[in-house]
Amino acid sequence: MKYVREMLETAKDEPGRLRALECLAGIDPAGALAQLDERPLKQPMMGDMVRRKAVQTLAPRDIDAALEIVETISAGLFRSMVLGDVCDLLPASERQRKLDLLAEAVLQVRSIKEPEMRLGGTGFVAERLLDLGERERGEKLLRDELETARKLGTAEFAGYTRGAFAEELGQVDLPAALELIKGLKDASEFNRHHGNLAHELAGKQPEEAERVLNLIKPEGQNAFNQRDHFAVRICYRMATVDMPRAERIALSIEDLCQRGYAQGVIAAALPAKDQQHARELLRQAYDVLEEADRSQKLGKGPHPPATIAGALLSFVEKLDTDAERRPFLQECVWRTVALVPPATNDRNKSYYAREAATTVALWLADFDAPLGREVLSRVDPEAAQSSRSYVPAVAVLSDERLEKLLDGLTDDNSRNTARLRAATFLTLMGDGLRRQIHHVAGLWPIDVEDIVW
Amino acid sequence: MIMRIQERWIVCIVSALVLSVSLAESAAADEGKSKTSAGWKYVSESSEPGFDRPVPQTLACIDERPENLAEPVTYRGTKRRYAQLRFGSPNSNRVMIVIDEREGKAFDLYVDRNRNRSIEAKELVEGDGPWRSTALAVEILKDDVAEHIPRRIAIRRNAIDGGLSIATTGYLQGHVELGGRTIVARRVDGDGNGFFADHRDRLWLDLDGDGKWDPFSEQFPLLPVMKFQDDRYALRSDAIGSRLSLEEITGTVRLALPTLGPGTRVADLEVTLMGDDGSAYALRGLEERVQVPIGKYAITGLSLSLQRTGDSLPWNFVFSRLDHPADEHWHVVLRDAELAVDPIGAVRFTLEFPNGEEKFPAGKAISVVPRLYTHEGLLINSCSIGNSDARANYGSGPGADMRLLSAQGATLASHHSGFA
Repeated sequence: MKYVREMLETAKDEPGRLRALECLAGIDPAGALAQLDERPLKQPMMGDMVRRKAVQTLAPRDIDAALEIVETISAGLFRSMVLGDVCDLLPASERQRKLDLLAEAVLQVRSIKEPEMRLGGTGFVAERLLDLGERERGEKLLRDELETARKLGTAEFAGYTRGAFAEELGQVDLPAALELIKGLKDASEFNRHHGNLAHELAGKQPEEAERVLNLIKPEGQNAFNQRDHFAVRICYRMATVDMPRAERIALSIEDLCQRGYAQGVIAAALPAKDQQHARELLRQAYDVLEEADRSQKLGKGPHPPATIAGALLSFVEKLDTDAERRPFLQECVWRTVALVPPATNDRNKSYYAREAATTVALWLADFDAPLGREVLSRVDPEAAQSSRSYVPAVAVLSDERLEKLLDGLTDDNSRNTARLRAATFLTLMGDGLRRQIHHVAGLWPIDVEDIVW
Repeated sequence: MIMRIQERWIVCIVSALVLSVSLAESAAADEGKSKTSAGWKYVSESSEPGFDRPVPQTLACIDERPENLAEPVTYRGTKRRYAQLRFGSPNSNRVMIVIDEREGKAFDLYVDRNRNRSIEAKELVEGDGPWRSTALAVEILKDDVAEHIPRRIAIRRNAIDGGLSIATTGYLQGHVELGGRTIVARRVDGDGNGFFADHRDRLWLDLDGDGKWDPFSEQFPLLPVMKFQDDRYALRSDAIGSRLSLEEITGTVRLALPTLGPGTRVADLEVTLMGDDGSAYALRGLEERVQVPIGKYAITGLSLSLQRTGDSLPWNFVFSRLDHPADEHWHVVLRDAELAVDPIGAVRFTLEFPNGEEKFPAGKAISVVPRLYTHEGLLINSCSIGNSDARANYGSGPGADMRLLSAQGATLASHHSGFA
C-alpha cells in the first residue's frame, strides 16, 4: 500500500494516475473506486479500466459486490468483457450463474454499433459459451455475425477482430474460419490468429490443430520463429488427447529453449497416474535446456535457457515423492541455477545473462529465497534498470534493497514505474504470482489463451 | 420588494399539484393489478428466469438535505443520505429517496411516492437487507398535466459505497407481428426510468413459440433497427410502451450539430424522436443513422454532454419538449432519403413571468423563470458538470444569477437558479 499511495501522490499525468489506481484496485477495490469518484479520470475508458480491475479483485470473494461495479461500467463492449471476466472467475459449480452473466454479455454485445467491436465482443462471449459446452448457443452467436466478419477488412483493427472472431468460429466451422484469416495482411497477425486457432483446437481436434499450426509462416529476418512459440501451448493441450502427436510436435521445435519448455508443459499436463513419465519428461526438458546452453545459439529464441528452467520448477515441485526432502526439486533447482550465465559486459550476451539471473531469482523466491538473493546479487543494479523482472525480483526478495533502489532513482516517472512493478508483485501470491512472473519474463503461462480482449 | 425564482417543479405543482398527488397515490394503489393498454400488460413482479432480476441503475446520493424538502417523519437512524430519481418523462417531478442509516448496516428507506417533496411516515419502504421494493407510478408531464401509470421499482443499497441503485421490476407483455407471424413479446426497462422504449431497454421475443424465454436467442437490446435472420425491421413504439411494431425500413435520419463551437467535442448525445403517430426512436451520437418508416418526426428529448478542450469534465444538458411540436418542428422523412436534424440550432434564452409582467405593487412577489430553448422548441431541464449520474441532475450545477434592479440601477434582490 505504501508504494501505491506514493504513486498516487506523485503521479503527474493521467496514465500515471491510471496505473496507480489500477494497482490500488488490486489491493483495495473500494478505496480505488472512492478515489476515482472523487477525482475522475478524464477518459471514461480509463475509469472503466480501474473498475474492471476492482471487479477482478472483488469477484472471487464477493460476486454480488463485484457485479454492482459492473453495472457502472460503460455499456457495450467493455461491460461485456468484464462480465466475461466475472464468468471466468466463478467456480465451475456456478454454471447457471455463468450462463446468466454470458446472456447479459450477449445483450451488451448486440447493442454495439461498430461492426469491428461487435465482432470482437461476439468472439469473446462465444468462446466462453463453447468452453462451457454450450455449442449450440455459441455457434448461433458466431453464425449470426459471420457475414459481418466476411465484410470486414483484412488489415489493421478490422483484420485483428476478423482473426479473433475466426479463432472461435474455427471450433465449430474450421473451413469458414480459415477462409476468414487466410488473407490477413500483416504477417504477425496472420501467424497470431493461426496459432491461436491451433491452440483452441489442440485439445479437441489434434490433427486439425497440427495442420493449422503448420500454416504459420516461417520467420522473417530478425524475427523469432512463431511456430515454435505457438507449438508449446499446443503441446500442453494436446498431451492428454494425442500424446504421440504432442511429443512429435515438441521435437519439431527448432529453438531448443522452446523445445525444452514444450516437453516441460507436456509433463505438467499428464494425469497423476503418469507421474513417472512426467518426471522423465522433465529431466529430458532440463537436458535439452542444458544442450541449448552449451550450443550458445543465443538469439534463436526470446528466452535464455535458465528462464525456462526456472519456469519448470513449479511443475517439478508437484512431482516430488518425498515431500519433506524434495530431492527432485533440489536437483532441478541446482540445474536451473547452473544455467544462469555469469555477469558479463559483452553486449551480445549481457541481456540474456541479466534476464536469466533476474527471472531465476524470481522463480526461486518460492522455493529457496536465500539462493534467489544470491543469484540476484550477481546482477549490476544500474544495468538492470530496464529489465521488467529486476525490480519485481528485488521487491519479492529484499525490502531493504528495494528501498535503496527507489531512493537511487532521480525522477518521479522512473520511481513510479519501479513502485508499480514492486507493488504489483508484493500483492500477489501462489498462482497469481507465478502468472505475473511469466508475464514479466515474456513467457506463456499454462492454458492461457491470447489475452487482448 | 422580494423576488422569488420558481424552480420548474414548483411551476408544475402550481398547475398540477392536486391532480398529481391524487393520481400518484391511486396509481400506487392500482399497482400489481394488470393494466392493459392496446394489448400490453404490465406484470410488476416475476420469478421466471430472465425476469426475476431487474436491471439496476446507479443513483447519485448526497449527504446534504436538499432544499425544499420537508421531513415531518421521525427518523429512527442517526444519519441521512438523499437521492433524487427522475422516474418518467425528462420533465417529470423528481422523486426524493431518503436512506436513514441505523446501527451497523441496517437502514430505513423512504420513497416520496407522491412527489410532494415531503418525507412522511407512510412512505417508509418495508423490508430489510439491501433490496427493497415499492410501488411507484411513472409520471408523464405534458402541458403541465401529470399522467401517472402504475409501476413497481426495486431499490438496492450498494455494498461498495453505500449508495443506491434502482430498477423497474417486471415487464410489459404483449404481441408483435414479425414476418407474418404474431409473436408473444416482453419488454423490460433497462435504464430505470419506468419507460420501455429507450435504447437500454430490452425486448424479449418468443421466436420459436414454445412459451419459454431463452436469454441468448430471444432477448435483444431495443435498437431502432432490428435484424432477424437476414431481414431488417424498424422498431416503432411510444415511450411508455403501449404500442410496439416492427416495420419495413424506408428512410434514414441522422443528427448534425453545425453550431457546435470549435474545440468542443460531443462526449455523449442522445435524441428521442417522435413520429407523428406517436412512435419513438432513439438516436445516439453524431455518426448514427437510424432507418425509420417514412413519415413526420419531431425531437422530444435531448441529452447532450459536451467537453471543451482543456476541460477535465463534460457539461451535461437535458432538454425536453414542454408542448406539442409546432408545425416547424416536424421533419419529413421521404422514401430512401436521408434527413439531417440539428437538435440544438440557435438557442433562445428568455425570462418568463408566471405571475404576469404588468405593474407590481410594492410588497408583491415577482416570480421570474429563466428558460433556455433549442430552436426545435425543447426546454432545458438540467445542466450539470461531471461524469456522475446525469439522470439525477443533482447538485449545484451551472445556473443563472439574476438581479432585480431599480430604475437607478441599484440591486433590489438577487437569486441564483439552476434547472430542475
